[in-house]
Amino acid sequence: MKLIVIREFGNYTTTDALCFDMEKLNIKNCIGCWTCWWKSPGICIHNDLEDFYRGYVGADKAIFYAKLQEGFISSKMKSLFDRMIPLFLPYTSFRDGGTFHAPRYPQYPNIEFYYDYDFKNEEDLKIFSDYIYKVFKQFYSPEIKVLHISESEKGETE
Amino acid sequence: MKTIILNGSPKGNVENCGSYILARAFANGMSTPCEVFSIAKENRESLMEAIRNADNVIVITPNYIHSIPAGTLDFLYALPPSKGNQTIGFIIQAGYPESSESAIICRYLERFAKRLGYTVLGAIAKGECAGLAIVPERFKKLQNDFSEFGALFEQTGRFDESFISKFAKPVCLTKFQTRMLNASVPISNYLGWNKILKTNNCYEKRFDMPYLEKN
Repeated sequence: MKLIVIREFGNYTTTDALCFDMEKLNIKNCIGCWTCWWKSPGICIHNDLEDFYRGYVGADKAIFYAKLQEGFISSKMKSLFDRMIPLFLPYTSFRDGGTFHAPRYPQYPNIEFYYDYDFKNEEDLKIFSDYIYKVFKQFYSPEIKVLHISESEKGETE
Repeated sequence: MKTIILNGSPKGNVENCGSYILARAFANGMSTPCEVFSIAKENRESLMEAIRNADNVIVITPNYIHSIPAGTLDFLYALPPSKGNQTIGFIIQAGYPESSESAIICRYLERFAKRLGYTVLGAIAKGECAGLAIVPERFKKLQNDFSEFGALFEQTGRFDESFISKFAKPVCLTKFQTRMLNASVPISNYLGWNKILKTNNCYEKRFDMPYLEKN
């Protein structure tokens, strides 16, 4: 099974996983230009995430270790999410009461999304969890798990 | 009462920016001057000072991946706590027809602003704004609504409930709307994306998978 690990903290990894340290990535923000849809299909105007894109669409599972900010994903993780738009087509279809962009690739990885944050109440946790599920449902991940870091088996460390 | 608007689009205050178009329409409805600042393009400390000096802060921003753009989120994380009597409101404009695309981030922003001590005017989701930045002339009615919404806000100090529910429709697509929209996909693709792709000489590449490694 091919794994990709995206981490904002710790040194969690698994043997043979392709690992991306958010701290080491200098991700430019999406500027909403839609170049990746209507000028160079599938290719972002920025060229700082090509290894990530290749690893993500080739993986069976993506494991995120996210350090939250104010009970939500960090702005850097949000930048990564925003920049995943080239992995999908501009064309849309409609189902389940909502809109979906069509997939560009034949498959997308299952998701394990671990977070390091202690929510003070259930509603804030639900908002965060709803958000992650919504994003990766839109991103065509067949299985999505959102878990506190204490539920991680931690895999192997580097 | 001093009101400022923060435009949360990475494009900034330019003519092809949907959030700026709506921000300007809202401000135009008010009789007292209301400045529209760009979160992406202006000095952050100056913006924070403008927020500290305002009674009412209104953030108008596009939806990016069911939330707000990364740079706008980063800015809001640095928002100063309310000095005690400030209000804040959020307007999220999105491309999808259904406003539920923005429902989760609206819930989040309301709670986030309350934690900072602001009186929250509301977090409003407006769908069907996909073409706003491209063909704004087709959105005159929406711009007029936003001007009226701005005028009512100036009079009452609140977001008008009838406009909130009007902007939110449809929250989710009905089965009938889903059928109609799916039936219209071929023609909307022909007149929309495909036309643009052909103009840019990349129609043949529209389904390219540049990052798929061949085994």
